[in-house]
Amino acid sequence: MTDAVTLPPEQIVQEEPHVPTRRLLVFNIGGSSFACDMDSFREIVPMQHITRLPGAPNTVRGLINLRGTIVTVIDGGTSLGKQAYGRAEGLILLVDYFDRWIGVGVDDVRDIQDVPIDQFGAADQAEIPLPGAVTGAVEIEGKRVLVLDIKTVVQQVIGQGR
Amino acid sequence: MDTGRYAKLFLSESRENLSEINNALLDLERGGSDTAIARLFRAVHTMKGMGAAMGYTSVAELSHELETLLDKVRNGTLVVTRPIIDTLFSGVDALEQAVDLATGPAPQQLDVKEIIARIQTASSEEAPQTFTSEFAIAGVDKKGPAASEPSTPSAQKTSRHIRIDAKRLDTLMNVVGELVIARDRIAKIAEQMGDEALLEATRRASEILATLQNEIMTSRMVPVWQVFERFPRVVRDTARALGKDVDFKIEGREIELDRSMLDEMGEPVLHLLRNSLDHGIETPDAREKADKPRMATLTLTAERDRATVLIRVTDDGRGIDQARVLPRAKKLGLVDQNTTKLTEQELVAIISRPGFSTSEKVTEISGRGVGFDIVATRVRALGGSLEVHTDAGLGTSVSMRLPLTIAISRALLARVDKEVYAIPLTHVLETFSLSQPMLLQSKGRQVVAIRDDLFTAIWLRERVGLPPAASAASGQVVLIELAERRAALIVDEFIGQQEIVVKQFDGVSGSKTLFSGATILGDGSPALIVDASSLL
Repeated sequence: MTDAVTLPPEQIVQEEPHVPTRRLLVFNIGGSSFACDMDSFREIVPMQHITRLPGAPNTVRGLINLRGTIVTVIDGGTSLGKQAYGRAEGLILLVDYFDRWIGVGVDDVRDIQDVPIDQFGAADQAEIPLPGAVTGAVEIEGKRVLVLDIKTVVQQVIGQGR
Repeated sequence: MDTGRYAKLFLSESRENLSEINNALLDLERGGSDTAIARLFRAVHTMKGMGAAMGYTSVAELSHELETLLDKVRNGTLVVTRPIIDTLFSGVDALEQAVDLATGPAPQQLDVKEIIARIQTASSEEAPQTFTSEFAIAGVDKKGPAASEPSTPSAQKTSRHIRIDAKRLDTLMNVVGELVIARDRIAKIAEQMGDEALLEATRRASEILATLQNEIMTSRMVPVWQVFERFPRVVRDTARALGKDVDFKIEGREIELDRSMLDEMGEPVLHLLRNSLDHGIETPDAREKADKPRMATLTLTAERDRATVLIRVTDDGRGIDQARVLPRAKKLGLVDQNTTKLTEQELVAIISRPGFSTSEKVTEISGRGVGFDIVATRVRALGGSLEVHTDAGLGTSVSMRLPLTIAISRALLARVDKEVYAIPLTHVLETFSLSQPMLLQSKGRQVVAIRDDLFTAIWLRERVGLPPAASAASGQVVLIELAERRAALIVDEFIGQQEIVVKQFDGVSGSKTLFSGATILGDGSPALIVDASSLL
């Protein structure tokens, strides 16, 4: 969280003023792109056998065994009001959630981008059916991409869990 | 992130301090000495420091006021009276709340204005006579330092213990649990291959694994007092509220039990204690009429018996009156009409029936039964059993026999469609193959006839939201039982039995009730553990 970087004097007097950046992970689900702070993710693992969780809504895919820990995987697509992610291929983004992990199933990871904070624009909350999930929007390769707070997304789907 | 970690540490240390405060208060109430005051003062002072360091203002302020009050007691300007003790108890309760709120998922500060005002009022009351206070000063000053010394022997010993986050031990236990599962799998393969050298190596690895498992199990053992020590306070409060005079004893507090098991034990034990206080133990007057001492004795005992631990609650109250339970049991058709005396097993079976125990009339006449089924269910879920001994007029003793650990248990693995579910063996009575003639209709519902009995048919497929099988009368039947209730659970096929490690997962509403946890199968995939109580 410390963005107070002390720079040597010669760098400060450069023409371009230094603007802090945020490192974003850009991923695709159901034909849409989204971005989240890279810090929110612990790990990215390939799609694997998911045990269905009967009784759960379609925003929850089920359980995986991550090196001996049972991790609940939510569907990034249906959670964000889009199409479900494709089944066989795809990736699971592991999110730090309280003292454990929750997986978010997505179709593909597109890119990791360092975006200067002055390029973050406002976005309408209503673009996603989860209140508080959208924190802004950025332009990446000429396309507008919503920036999400992934923990809020997880929280809205899972609740307090356990 | 770091404050979170400190919050956890704060929470665990506060718990220790709070129970020390409670116990010292109980000592003080029993006419306890300056040692009790010294202990109280020290613990409250620690809470104040910790609260302030964490920025928990409510904890710090409240501790400060308690400290001020205790200081006056310590230097004799305030005499310990009933209202002072009660104020202290209320203050501690508020302190506990403040700690819980400050360290909860949404941290906030308890509003402590009211309780602080109460403490201040109590503390501003002057000692009745200056003579008394002078006397007290002299007494305490002499005893003060001497009294505080024996209560800190642990600090003098060089400790060979280290503090470990209990979660680490849980993880270790889980990993070992998985090793057990992997071992079973290797053993199976080795047997199929019939390679003597491989079999020998597998056997050796098994032995080492057994030792490892045993060592880790032992390191997870904690003495029962860690849970028991909060009971004296609860017993005191309940007894006072009910107007009963009780001498509460705890025996075997050093007996050890697996941490996870102990966590689950608190509530059932509390239930039994409350039951004894409420229904077993008579009022002092009634006791006197029955030629018993006015003060009742309530004992909580822990005892190790081979691979099990016995936890027993004994009272010298009125006992369960067979003559009154029996007619009721006959009326409900629970026992044969010609029965003249119930065996203790029958008695347990009857009073732990949910319908029986919630019936107000029976509770009133039997003097026992409220929530008994809850205790029975919990003990059963932990893989234990319940024993009751009672003598009408003389008292009742309820024992819970528990295995040393719940980390690893055995389950029946069953398949429906392409999915595998684990059914804990503690709830499985028998298994059968299903055939058409066994399936009947009774009172508008489908039942399975096994020998002379009919059991409600439950299709696991239906419960987990799968379409019905092509033929309803195919598959296997698991006769499950929970607290005297039985049902026939129908699955497609049995895969076998396995030692399972129960793991928790993040469910969402709707999916939580059906399963008690998840486990990992031999092929590495997760399988859900069916919660028998949700089926019945």
